[in-house]
Parts: sequence; structure tokens; C-alpha cells
Amino acid sequence: MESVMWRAATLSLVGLVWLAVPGAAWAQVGGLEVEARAGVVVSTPLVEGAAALPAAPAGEGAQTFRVTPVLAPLVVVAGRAGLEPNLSLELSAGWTFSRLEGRQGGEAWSVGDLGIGHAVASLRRRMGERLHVRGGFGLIHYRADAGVFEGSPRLMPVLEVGAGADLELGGARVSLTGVGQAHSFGSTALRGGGGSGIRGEDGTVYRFALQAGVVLGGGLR
Amino acid sequence: MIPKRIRLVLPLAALAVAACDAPTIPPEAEAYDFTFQTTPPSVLRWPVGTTIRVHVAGGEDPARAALLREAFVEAAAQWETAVLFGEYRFAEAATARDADVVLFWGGDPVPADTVGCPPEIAGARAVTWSCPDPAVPGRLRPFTVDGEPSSIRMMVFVQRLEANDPASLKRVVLHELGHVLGIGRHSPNLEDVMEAHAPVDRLSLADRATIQVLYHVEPDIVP
Repeated sequence: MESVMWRAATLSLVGLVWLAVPGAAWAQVGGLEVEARAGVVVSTPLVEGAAALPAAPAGEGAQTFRVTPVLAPLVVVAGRAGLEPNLSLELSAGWTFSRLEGRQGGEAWSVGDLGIGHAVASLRRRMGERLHVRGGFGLIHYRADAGVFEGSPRLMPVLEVGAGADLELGGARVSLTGVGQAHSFGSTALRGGGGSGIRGEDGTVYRFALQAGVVLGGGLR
Repeated sequence: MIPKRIRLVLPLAALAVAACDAPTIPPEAEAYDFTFQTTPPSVLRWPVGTTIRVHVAGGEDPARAALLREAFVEAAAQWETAVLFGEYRFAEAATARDADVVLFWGGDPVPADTVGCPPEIAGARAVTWSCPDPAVPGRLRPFTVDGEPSSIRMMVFVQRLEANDPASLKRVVLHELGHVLGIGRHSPNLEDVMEAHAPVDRLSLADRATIQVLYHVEPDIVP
């Protein structure tokens, strides 16, 4: 758990540093602001299907099988630099504190802890006074010990879209955002399956998050 | 002059492409038959997600106790990494009473009562044994310790002679843990740990395939 915390802190720091470099360049154009967000994220399964069971005794059919990250909290640090009056570049980095759960037939079990880090660059457009939409690309990383990750890429490209509202609450600038992410997932272990029948081609994983944020400083012009 | 937005998007696209990984497919291995030779054949395995608690009763001799414990730790690590989804784990239990499985040296006092469920020794270097529970079909009978109930479902002993050859001891314990996990027969192939007398100290692809299949089959008996 301690190493996960360190990774979260490092990732957040990297996000801020990443922000600072282009931020300086863009500040004279449209300003700069930093936002901290927290929320929860759900995910579609990493592995889903039917076990083929090549050596199963007669009468034992295939079973449904899935391994899914559970509903989990995430934290995000984001920075924005204005490009045009209603358009800004957002750089964000986040960490999800999750756990993998397996289900097979009537059995369910904990596969192990799972940390998910992501960093995304996106364009954010303001729609009217309070609403905004956002879309961009980045990288995502899964940190887990389970054998299914053996031979998976350390970093995978991720597509992110989001929409939300910006509000004033007691003098603070806050936001409520819905975010969706999509990325491919596959691993050598999964493709081979070791003969287990739990064998899968690369697939796409979708993550959906609800986030509440607060602008910590700066301001877009 | 490249427009500002394009200048932003191009590096991101390059980054995304660079992060892609070419798929590689390792060779497949055939699982061997893991069923117990009952009529009809039956599948025995622990429920998925179980942490199997093993008490290593190493005996009075500290050196011999350390050998047995080291062999268990290494064997447990190999079997744990043979599955993809954490289907089972091993943990050490401090006492026999807290254990699901007891591992001990042959010739030492037996850590549980074996009346009604004795091992079939017959000159084997090691034996893993358990008995069906006559009161609860589909379950194994719990052993008692000094007449008191316990959670022990399986017993494993290794002949003391194995202490003279630590490498052989590790192979034997690795093999016996395969039986503890539910592999009910011996592999016909000399390259596999689960062959009866194989001089193999690492799980083969077939061993891994077999345990993976076993833990995705509906069991007839759970310990």
C-alpha cells in the first residue's frame, strides 16, 4: 500500500510539472489554473468470456468468467492553460486505488490490489456560462501482481472524454464532471492462457468516473 | 506554418502509437488428466480465491525444520505464479489447529489424529492424503488434533531421508503441493513436476496448464 501511495504522489507531481512547462508558454495567451478532483470510477471487465476447459471431464461445460476492477476512488490533479476565450488545454494526472475481483460460476474472489495511473492531455471547450466538454489522449498504467498482467504493456494509450458543470459555491470555484475513458487491454499471459481455456484476444476496457473538483489557483481569462 | 492545434495533436498521436505493443503468443501446452480415480472420476479443488493455510511441522531438529520450511516456501511461490487470476494462495499457519494442511517429516509424531484416515505409505518418498467426509458429501473429513476438532483437511509427510538431499526435497514438496491443490493423478510425461519420479524442479508448461484448467472446472469435492 505504501508503494501505491508513493506512486500516486509521484504521478501527481509529474502532472503538475508537466503542466508548468507549457503553462508558462501559454499563460500570456489565456491564463492558467490548477484544479484538484476526486471521485469514483467503475470499469468494464479486463477479462470476460467463457472458459473453454479443454481437459474438463465429460459433462463439465464452459463457465462464464470475468475479472473486473471494483468500484474505486480516484484522485486527479489537472491544470489548464487558455488557448482561446472558450478553449483551453488541460493536462491531468490521476491515480485509482482499486482491487481486482474475479467471478466464475457461483464463485467470487479477490484477485489482488490494483493501482491505475493515468495522464491525459485534452482540449476543453466551455459551452455557455457553466458547462464544458473535454476530449483528449494520454497514457494509462495498471499496477498489479496478478499473473494476467504478465506481458502486458506498461503504458497503454487511453482516450478520454468528459463533460461537466462549473459552479461557484461559497466563493470557491468547484466542478462536477462525468468522465469516460477507453483503452485496449491484452497480455501475453492472457493470449496464451497456458492451455487453460481462459484465453482472450486484446479487447477494449471502458472506465466511467464521476468527479467533484475545486479550482486551487489561477484563472483563465 | 503548422496550425497551433495540429502542433499539439501530433506529438500526442505519436505517443499513442509508440505505446502500442505487438502481440506475441507463447506456445500452448496440453493439460494432463487431474481427476481422482473414483467412479466416475471426480474433481477436487479448493474454492477459487482460497488462501490455503499450511502448517510446516519441521520437528525438533532446527536444521531439518528449516529445510522443510524452505522447500514449502519455494514450492508455494511456484504454484502461486502458475495461475493468472490469483485463484489460490498459500500461507503459513503457526499451529496445526489453525491449518488446512499439515506438512511434516515421516518418523516424527503425527500432528493430527489419523484414526479412520491413515496414509497409504507403501515405500513412497512422500504422501499427501485426505478422506471424504461421510457426514457431508462433497467435502473432506476434518482431522482432529488430540481429539479436538480442527480445520485440517489434508496431511502431507515427507520421508526423513529426503533431508539428506535438499534439491530432491524441494522437488518432492513441489510435487506434493500439486496434490494438495487437487491434482489427483500423475502426469505421464517426465518433463512435468507431477510425473511420479520426474527429476524436475520447475513447473512445466503442462503443469501450469493443468492447474489453470483445474481451477476453472466445477469441483465435485471441496476440502
